[in-house]
Amino acid sequence: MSLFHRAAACLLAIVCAAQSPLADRAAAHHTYVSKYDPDRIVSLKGTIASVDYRNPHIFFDITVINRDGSTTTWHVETEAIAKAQAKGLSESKLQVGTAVVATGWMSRTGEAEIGLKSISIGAKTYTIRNTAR
Amino acid sequence: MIEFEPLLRAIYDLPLSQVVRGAVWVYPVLETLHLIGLGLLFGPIIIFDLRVLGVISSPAPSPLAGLLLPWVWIGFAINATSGVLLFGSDALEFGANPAFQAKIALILMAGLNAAVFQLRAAGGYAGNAPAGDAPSPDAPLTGGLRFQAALSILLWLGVILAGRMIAYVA
Repeated sequence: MSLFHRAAACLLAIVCAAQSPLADRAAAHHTYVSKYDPDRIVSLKGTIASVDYRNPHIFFDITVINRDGSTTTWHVETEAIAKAQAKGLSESKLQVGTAVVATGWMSRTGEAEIGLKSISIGAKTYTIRNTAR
Repeated sequence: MIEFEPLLRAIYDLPLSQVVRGAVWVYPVLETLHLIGLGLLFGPIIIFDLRVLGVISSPAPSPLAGLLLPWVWIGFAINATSGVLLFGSDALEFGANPAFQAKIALILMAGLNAAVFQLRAAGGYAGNAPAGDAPSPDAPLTGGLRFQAALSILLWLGVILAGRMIAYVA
């Protein structure tokens, strides 16, 4: 049935078109491994610039002063509100201006973005995830 | 091309959208409802389509449709409601997401396919019955209707796939 085949091909084209720009911007949530590289881990020392404490994932920015004196704003993604709270990372811990050391896996896109592994605020370290997979 | 961004931003800024993304448990509850609705929507649809295709041989399509269709509407209502609320919580991202756009297009195509199927099936039942009689519950399942049943399965599988891909593409 050629009409059937044509319709099936059309549907397949739509679905494939939806998948083509796979993981190339910092928009999708879910699964660290599709977005962050488990083999490239970094620690960033900086201050919190902004916080979007929300579901399904929390995002915040850290301002980092580089060795040459320039600054880079790093985007940090972490878990859902309930999970972050269960690990001790309540909203009140993430105040703008607070000095932190954030450790996480680098974005596969090469942008200044990490998927959070752990974060140190003052003397406390909150481990949010152990693996990027 | 219409500029959607101001509208999407207004939806994002609604107090209700702020509650959906900001409250601890609202988002996961809506996600759960979206899965329950999916079950009620997709389950009956695929059973009916398999009946039309002949994979399942009884009961007759018409009473089966009468039994299943209310559950499809309940599932659709649950998913339209939970889906609109989840969409609002991150309207700018969802609006720009190609998988989300594909999902909406596929839902519209699946809905159109179902509407055309119903019109054709109703015509078939009426045409099958002697003049003045009630439509026969055993309308002949023509190749056209079978094609539409197969298309229905493909479109709804496409909706599920596109929906799942929203979290993985940008």
